[in-house]
Amino acid sequence: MQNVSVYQLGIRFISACLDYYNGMNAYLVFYVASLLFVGLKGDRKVREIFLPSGIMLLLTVYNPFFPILIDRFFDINKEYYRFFWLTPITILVPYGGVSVLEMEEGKKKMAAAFALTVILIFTGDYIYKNGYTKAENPYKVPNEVIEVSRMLHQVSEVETPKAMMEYDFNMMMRQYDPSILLAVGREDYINGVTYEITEEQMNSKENGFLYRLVAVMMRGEELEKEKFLEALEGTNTEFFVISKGNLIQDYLIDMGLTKAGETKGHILYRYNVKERENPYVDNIYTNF
Amino acid sequence: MGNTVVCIGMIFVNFILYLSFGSFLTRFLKKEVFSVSLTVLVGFFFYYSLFSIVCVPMMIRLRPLSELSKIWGGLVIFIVLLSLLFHWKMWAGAAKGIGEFIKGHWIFFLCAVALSIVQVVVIVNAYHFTLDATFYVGTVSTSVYTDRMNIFNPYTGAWQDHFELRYFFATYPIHDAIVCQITGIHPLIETKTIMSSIVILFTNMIYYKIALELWGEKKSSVWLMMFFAALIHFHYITIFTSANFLLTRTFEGKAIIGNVVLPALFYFFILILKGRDSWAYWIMLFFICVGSNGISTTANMLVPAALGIYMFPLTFLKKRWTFIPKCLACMAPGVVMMLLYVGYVKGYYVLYTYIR
Repeated sequence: MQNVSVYQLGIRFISACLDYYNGMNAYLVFYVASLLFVGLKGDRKVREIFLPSGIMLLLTVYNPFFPILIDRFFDINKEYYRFFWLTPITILVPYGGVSVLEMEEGKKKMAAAFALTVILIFTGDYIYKNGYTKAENPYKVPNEVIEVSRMLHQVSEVETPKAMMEYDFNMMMRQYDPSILLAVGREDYINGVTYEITEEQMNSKENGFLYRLVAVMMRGEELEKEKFLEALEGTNTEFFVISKGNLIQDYLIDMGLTKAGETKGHILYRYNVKERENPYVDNIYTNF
Repeated sequence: MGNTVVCIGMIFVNFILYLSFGSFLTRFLKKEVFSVSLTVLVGFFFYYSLFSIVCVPMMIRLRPLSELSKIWGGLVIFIVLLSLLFHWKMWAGAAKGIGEFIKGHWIFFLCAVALSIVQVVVIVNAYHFTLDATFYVGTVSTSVYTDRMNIFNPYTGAWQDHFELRYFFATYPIHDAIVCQITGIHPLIETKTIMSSIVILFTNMIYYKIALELWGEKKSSVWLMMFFAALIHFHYITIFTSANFLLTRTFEGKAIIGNVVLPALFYFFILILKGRDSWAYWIMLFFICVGSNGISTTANMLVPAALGIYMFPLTFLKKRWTFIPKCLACMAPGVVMMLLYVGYVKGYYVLYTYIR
């Protein structure tokens, strides 16, 4: 959870975390109800199974002071929600449900089972509520990713072509084809897409070239030719892969890039970079 | 079609491996009937415990992936043959027992199998775009392509001068890389179809085991409990829930921690509470804890916490103070891993990817 902090929220951290964690789902409420049911109606063995962990969870994970205490030792802001996984909701709620069904017999039991199914469905948030998207191929990446990979190798003179791609392709390409090198990694890309890219960042020695590439690709910024080409040379980036709807095509042509190929939805632009790299063979590691 | 056959074949092969490894632990349960499901479950974690012990030193020594493939491949063949030699009678007896069980409870068996298979088919055929896949699957692809382990950045392919310790000890993706290197299966198929299917089957298996402990011979109640658990998995969705990890990020170690390891710890809590607290059970629990650290770094934090929450109350319930040192022993691997990571973050040490 990126937007909650123990430092800012103090004892309200737990409730903020729980709001994000549960969303509109009612299963945590059902867990508490099942716990009460087991406490009141369950036999000794069942009570011993579910009540101690419920109490322990209340004293620790759900204790508003607990995150404040452990935040002194570890930075738990982003990952505290994983402690909620310790709550055996998917064990106790079904158990409680079946226990209720066991009280009925025959047709009444069938009706109760149906009612319970409906309740569980309508008090949750169905994973495929916006439709089920079947993967296009066994690799579970869009066919276009495979097509772009094939085309890059077709037009490239080296085994490891280096490219700058749009965000989603940047994140998927190397899962399918690790021989393709990418100019920008995950964090730099996310920072560049999420926040405003300042002039200072684009001129920084550390990641300046990367920010320039992201600014052009994702924000459509038209940088001075010298600055843009410096970024391409500085990162040894030979290819720009953009979707056909991307409006930077004219800019890329003005910068001297040429169209190298095209798939159904994407266009490959090429820049004659002076130096190409292959980190898989040219580094200190492979030299001993 | 060919791809489906390969995937189903690989799932069977994996289960045979887990059965072979797990039998070395469950064979000590001499007073009880040999349980294939318990053996496979425990075997999975025992397998990954041993794999981490072999893999980590080789990564530190910067050995190529192919060398690890040969060593691990050889070791696995040896252990499977050894297991066959020692346990074939147990397995034959279990096969007979399973046959009788299916004969006696064929409706339950068909319903349980159908429930699991429907989930596998629905989940592994869905398309999801998740950012973290870039790292987890990218690590497998990059390791196979470069024949190196964790040396190159999976996001870009750039060389890294030191190991990222956050992921270093979670060797699960490296194991996938070995399987891909040996079999020639593409990393995306190994991670997103084969291992994902195994995780979903394990999730159902552990819910079956728990339901069995709670409902005993009432098979309709056991199945209903499995069904309601599955229903909740498909509906308890925000980007943070373990159910969401099971359905959209099944190939990540975190999905295994949230959906297999934590319910497994709860299952062992039930077993021990019911008096099955012999050394053999504690050793199995210990290997679940060790193996989970090799699957995901998340286990370093969650497994000791889960042991504290589920197991410590047992000491008072059963009035058995000897449970405390046993619990602490199970917590120790996670705590050690956590301290190793904290040491790295604080800058006490770095593991470089080249000889300095």
